[in-house]
Parts: sequence; structure tokens; C-alpha cells
Amino acid sequence: MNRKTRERLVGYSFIAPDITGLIIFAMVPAIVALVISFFSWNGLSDMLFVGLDNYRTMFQDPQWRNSIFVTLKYSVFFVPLNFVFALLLAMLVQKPGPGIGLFRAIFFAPTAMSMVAVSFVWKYMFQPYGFVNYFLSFFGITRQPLLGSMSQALYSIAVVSLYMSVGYYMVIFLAGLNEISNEYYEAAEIDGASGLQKFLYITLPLLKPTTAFVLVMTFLQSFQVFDQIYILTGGGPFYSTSTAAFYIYYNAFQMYQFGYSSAQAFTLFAILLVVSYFMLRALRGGNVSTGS
Amino acid sequence: MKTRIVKGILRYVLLVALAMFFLFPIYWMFVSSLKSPSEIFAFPPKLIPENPVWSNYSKVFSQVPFARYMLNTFFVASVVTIVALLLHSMAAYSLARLRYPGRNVLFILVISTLMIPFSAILIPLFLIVRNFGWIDSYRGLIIPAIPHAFGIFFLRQFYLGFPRELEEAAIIDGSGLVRVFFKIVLPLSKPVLSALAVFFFLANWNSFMWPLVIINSPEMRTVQLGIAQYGGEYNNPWAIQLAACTVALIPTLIVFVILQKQLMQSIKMTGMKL
Repeated sequence: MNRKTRERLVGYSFIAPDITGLIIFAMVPAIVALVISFFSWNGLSDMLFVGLDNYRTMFQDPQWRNSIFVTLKYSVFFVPLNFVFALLLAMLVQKPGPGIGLFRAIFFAPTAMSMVAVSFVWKYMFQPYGFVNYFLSFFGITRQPLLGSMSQALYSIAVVSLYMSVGYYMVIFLAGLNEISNEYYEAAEIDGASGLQKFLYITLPLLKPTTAFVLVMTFLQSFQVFDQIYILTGGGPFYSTSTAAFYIYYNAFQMYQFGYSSAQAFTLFAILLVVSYFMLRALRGGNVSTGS
Repeated sequence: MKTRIVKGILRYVLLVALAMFFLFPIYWMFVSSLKSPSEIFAFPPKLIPENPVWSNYSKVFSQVPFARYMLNTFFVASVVTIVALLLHSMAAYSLARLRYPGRNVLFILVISTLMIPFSAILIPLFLIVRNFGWIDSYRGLIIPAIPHAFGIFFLRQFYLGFPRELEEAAIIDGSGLVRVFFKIVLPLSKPVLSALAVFFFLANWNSFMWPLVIINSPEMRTVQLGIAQYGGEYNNPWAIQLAACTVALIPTLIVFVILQKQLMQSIKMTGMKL
């Protein structure tokens, strides 16, 4: 066997296990999701081909429309706030100083934590006699229902999500901020630019690739939110926190409507692809990377 | 000069306030896990329990088999991490260094799976795993968690920048490619592999949706399922569940404290998401 053949052989055999895994556990499921969506199936009985019926049902299902609306509401709240707080944290800890390393670590720590455990302690704090209501009472705010309220539950969940994710995106923004050469700021200072002007005309424009990455990632994340919902509200009260991913899970694994929930899952997939494509295009300014 | 000092003070005031917001839930989880039934919803809440009920912790382990859950999770997360690191570094080395027809197609195939959201394939993944007879088993928890496009992509970037000279010297000495990889390349990848190992371990320790779907029997539960589906007695469940949360969090916080610099570094490099 010559050298070239041997290199090919090693090349194929080194990648074979992972490729096989990705095909079986990612590619095939993506195709299967589409196929099942044309069938009526409870997971055990024979599959019944129903064409586009599941999709038709979906468009008329007020519960599904509600889920999309809830997901959008959550996304519109979570994505911008996550952006603002992550950038604020990054700018606060960017310059060195005593104890800054510790502050960075504290903000970043939730990245390592379990969403289930953190959601659980927040659930405890959100109770009518919990710590959040105690804290609010110092500002003269009367007891709020929070998770028990149709209008407050979703935002309470978003607070937990922000707690878990801003530190992670702070690190991404730190990488982006460190890429910006100090010369720009020095030149602006000579011209007498104010802090706000430097932020608006130097930091924000030069941070655009990082911003694009963060917005698209958090958008994708917000459309798939599940763990927090499962622990904090279970989709309630009255479906007010039943997001798309939660409703899909509910239809598949509580109602055993595999065909119907596959149609929803595939629709969610399509929405995510289309929206992230347009977000990337709109935000395009240089390459879309973390800035490295 | 004066404004600078004011700004500096303002910065630290903000930092301290934010740090308190971040640390408080963890503090609250711990102190409330020691509260008695009469204290758990006392209003105003007690910032420090008067008589810490340490038996809440022994109840975590006696009322439900929480030690078993921890062992299950530790086993699953460790096996996934070790196997994934080995397979991904082989795949990445193959994509970065070895020449063969179809390599670019395979690379695109790997990258394209990054676009597939987990919640979109949850149902078919469940059906496939059920078809293999892996429901309620370690295999079901471990094997589907191993293939991971981001890990391959991350390591490929690393091997693209890896100095060729070392490998070439060994090849001239007559070593085969497989030997070169295992004796030279893999040992030199230790720093990057350890960063990735932290990610994989944490992600699998904290994983929830997949175990929720495929695990039915109580003794196969992972830690996260154990917290979510707490099945102990209903006297003071909040405190005992908070104690369980604290126990579940301890290993991840230890890993975090030791390796947080490496974690931050690898996120900065790739935008890796758990």
C-alpha cells in the first residue's frame, strides 16, 4: 500500500465514527421530522398518511398561534435586554482594576450552572411570600402574583434567562471590545469627543460583527426556550408561557400526537432558518464571527 | 481628575450591585435549603435561618436515591466527554490535515448539522433511539450526546494552526499516520482538549430535555431529573429540593472555579455555546 492510499484510509477511518453519529442523530432526524409531519401517528399505532392535514390543523390551532405569539413576546423582551446588559457588563469589566477578574468570574459563573437548579431557586424567590416580593416591598410595591399571573409570568421567566445568559455574552463582547484598537479612541479624544460620542461612533459600529453574532444566537436560543418554562410554570397560567418549544414537547410527549407535533417542529425549524438568514443579512458588516 | 475618581467610584458601585444580584440566588438557595417548614415562607424572609436544619441534606439522599442520580450523571457526563474528545479530535485531524477525496463535502456536512435546532429533531431522535431499544438506558443517554459539530469545528481550527514540522519529522522517521496522531498530536492537544472537556462535562451534567424524554424509571434518573421530578415526602419539599439543587450545583461550581479562565478563553476563541 503506498503512502497516498494509506493517508486516505486513515482519513476516512478517523472521521467515520463522528460522521456516522451525525448522520444518525442529526441529519436523519431532520428528514424524519419532515416525513412524520405528513402522518397521523400516536407513536404506537400504524402511521396514517394525511398529507398536509397537520399543517392545516396547525394554522387553525389557536393554541399553536398562541405559542408563536408567546415566543415572539419572550424573544422581543429577552434579545434586546440581553444585548444591553451583556454589553454593559463587558464595558464595566473591560479595563483592568483591582478585583475586576473576580467580578468577571461572578458574572460569568451562571454559564456553568444548571438551568434546572437556578430556575428552581428563582421559582422559590418568585412565590407570593418569596424574596422578590420582599425586595419589591422596599420600593412601596404591593405583593405581585409574578408566576401566578398571566401578564407577569413570561417576563419573570425572561429574568431567569437573562440571569443565566448575560455573563456568557459578556465574554463574547469582551473579545469584540478587545479587538477595537485604542488608536480610534485616542484620536477621538484629541478631537474632543465625549464618552457617549465615542460609544456611538466608534464602539458600536466596530462591534457590529460581534453584535450580529450575539443577536442571532440569542434569537435562536429564545425561540427554543424550554427548561425554564418546564420548571417555573409548566406553560401556565392558562398557556400564557406556553412557548413553541414547550407546546411541541407537550403535544409529542404528553398528548402523543407525534405527526402533529412534528409539523410544528418543522415549522419552527423553518422560521428559525429564515429569520436568522435575514438577521444576518441585515446586520452584515464584515464577517459574522465572534471577532477572533 | 475629579471626574475620573467619581467615574471610578461609580463603576465599582455598579459592579458591586450587579455582583450582589448574581450571587444572591446562590446564597439564597443555600440558606433556604437549611430552613425549617415554619421558616421557609416566613415573611419577611429570614436572611439566616435560626436553627439550620442540616437533616434536609440527609433527606435528599434518604428520601430519593439522589446519590444514584449523581452517579448516573457523573458516569454519563464522563463517558460522553472522553469518547467525544477522542472521536472529535480524530475527525478534526482528518479534516484539517489528511488528504482524501470528498473531504470538503464531509466538512460541509458536519457544519450544516450546526443549523439543526435540537427542539426540531427531538421527536425523531426519540423514535430512533426507541427503535434501537435504548429508552431508559445509559446507551440512550450517552450515544446520541456524543456527535457534536461544534466540537469538531473547534478542534479543526486548532489543528489547522498546529505546526506541521513535528509530524513531518516523525513521518520521515518511519512512523505511520495513526502512530503520529496518538503519540505526538494528541498529547500536544492537551490544553485545548481540557478546555473542551469542561464544556462537554458541564453541558452533559446540566442536560435536561433529552433525559426528560427518554428516562422513565426512577433509578435511571439524572441529577436534573431528580430535582425536577422530586418524589420524596411532602413535608417541607421546598427546602429539601433547594438542598438537592445545592448538591447538584457543587460539582459544576468546583469545575468552574478551577477552570473559569480556560472556559472564558475558549468562548472568546469560538463563541462556543453550551
